[in-house]
Amino acid sequence: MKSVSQLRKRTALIFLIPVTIVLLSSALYPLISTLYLSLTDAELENFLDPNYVGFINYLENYEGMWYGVLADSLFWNSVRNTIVFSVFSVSLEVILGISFALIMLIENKLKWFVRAAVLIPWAIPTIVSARMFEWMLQDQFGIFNYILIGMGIIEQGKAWTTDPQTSMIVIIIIDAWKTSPFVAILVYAGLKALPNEVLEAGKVDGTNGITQFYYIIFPLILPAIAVAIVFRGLDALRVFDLIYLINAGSKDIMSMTVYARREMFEYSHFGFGAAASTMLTLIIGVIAVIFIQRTRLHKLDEME
Amino acid sequence: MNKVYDKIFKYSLQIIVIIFCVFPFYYSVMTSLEGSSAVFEPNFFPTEINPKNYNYLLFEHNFPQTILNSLFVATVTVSISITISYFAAWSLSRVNFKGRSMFLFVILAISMFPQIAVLTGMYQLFLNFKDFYFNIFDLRVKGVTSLLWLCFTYTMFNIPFTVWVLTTFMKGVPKEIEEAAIVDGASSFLILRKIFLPIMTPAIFTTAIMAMIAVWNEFLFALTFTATNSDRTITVGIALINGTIEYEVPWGSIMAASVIVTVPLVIITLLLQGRIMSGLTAGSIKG
Repeated sequence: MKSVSQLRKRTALIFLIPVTIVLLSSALYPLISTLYLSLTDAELENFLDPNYVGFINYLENYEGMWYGVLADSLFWNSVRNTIVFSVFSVSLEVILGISFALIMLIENKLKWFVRAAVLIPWAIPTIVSARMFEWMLQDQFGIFNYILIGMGIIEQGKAWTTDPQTSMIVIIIIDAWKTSPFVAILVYAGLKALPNEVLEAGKVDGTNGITQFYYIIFPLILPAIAVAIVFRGLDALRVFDLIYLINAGSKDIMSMTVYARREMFEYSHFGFGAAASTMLTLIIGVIAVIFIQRTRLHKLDEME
Repeated sequence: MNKVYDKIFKYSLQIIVIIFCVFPFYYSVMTSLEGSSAVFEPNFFPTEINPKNYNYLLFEHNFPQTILNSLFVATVTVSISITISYFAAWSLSRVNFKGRSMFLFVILAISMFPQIAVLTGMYQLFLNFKDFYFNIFDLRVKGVTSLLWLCFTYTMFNIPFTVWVLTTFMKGVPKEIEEAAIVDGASSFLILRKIFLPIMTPAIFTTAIMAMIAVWNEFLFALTFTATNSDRTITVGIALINGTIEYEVPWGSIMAASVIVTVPLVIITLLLQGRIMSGLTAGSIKG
């Protein structure tokens, strides 16, 4: 007769079969076929049966000229935009998130309202937040311009979302509005996990709040902040919705995902688009693997 | 005196956070309630209450169809991914076997993948699926193709997340509860049904809600795999609301649509505040 633990092991493996099938068929297979397509001449006409062409979608020297994703200045432009977006939005979110988390700790009558309010932006679909901000920032009837004109800061309404100089800033702000709550909740959980004495310690010494936070609390919640930064960073690098919605056609703010999708579905350059998305996957993949190994998130046993 | 200042300072900080988070939502609710002329006069408070925008969306527009589509996709996707993940979570959290951390590693890595990484391959698969599907079923159900396909792709994107969150939740259930049943000779299936299910119900519910919100909000796949008015989901629906007159953006209707799809989410989120917070943290922080 088999031992109980052997039986359990067998059952456990059986229970994992459905997940494995789904992931193999819907994640691994399309991932590999995308990789393969990036090495083909796939266009709309031959999409189901493309020819292998090697690495020319990535880089090719043809009669002294360089072609391919890596030689396309628009691609590098999208890389730069993606990095600018990621760095600034994540930094802003971390700053806002920490501040919100500290404010969420305040114990008084408004406590429930603060915690409820913080979750609202998180629950709102990105498309809706984009539309809301577009409307508030609208040049003729937007409330934001109305306030600024009322305060005498500007004389005429400004088209914040379509002006290439401000549209990236607008996108970063919308993203920060939507996702700072996520950072705040992670940091708040980190703060809650600290022993009460730590939070009280500074008060007894009479040190002021900022010094106390910087020297005592901040180092202790650093791991929670690091996790939030990586999660948000990986999310920001693949940004699509916001940029596509706010200013799809503009080269000035195009992100890597927007670039890759545009090649595929607007120009039908499926092979080329696949090559561009593979570049993004590589970048994100390297960061993700390093992150998981560093934090040892997958070693569940160490949780206890 | 100092104490009073301290109190006022704390209250004002809280109020700033509340306004920052709630104002855009409040403002869109307000805009959605105004008639066409009032919409174009910036105000902080509604000057009139006019159901015109809602009437238009619900009775003259195909918006109700997009809501039904989203509900269909969300329900199918979430039921499948939660069921599959529930069993997988038990294996990954309660049983020690070789390759367990490798499995979790892959799950986590996939959850961090950009969607664009699989988009080309997915699209090729989609075209094959369409051919296959059209050969089997007759014309009447063709409209469902894209929606079924969305269910498939969303299941894939949900499963890493639901498996991971449920695994962390199930890890927290004390060993003793399960041990008694093992001694009695109960099968794993019975243990999962009779012992874990009651304890895990709140966690499953929370995970389901979070997965549902993710599906509800998805845009890239929805934009790529839906093509007609009848198979659009809400995000694409809102993105494509146009005015009757060209170049005139119907802000009132757009805001009304935004409010319709957002209010249920906001209500659910507020009711389940504490649970969602623990769900969000379970997804990323140990313990």
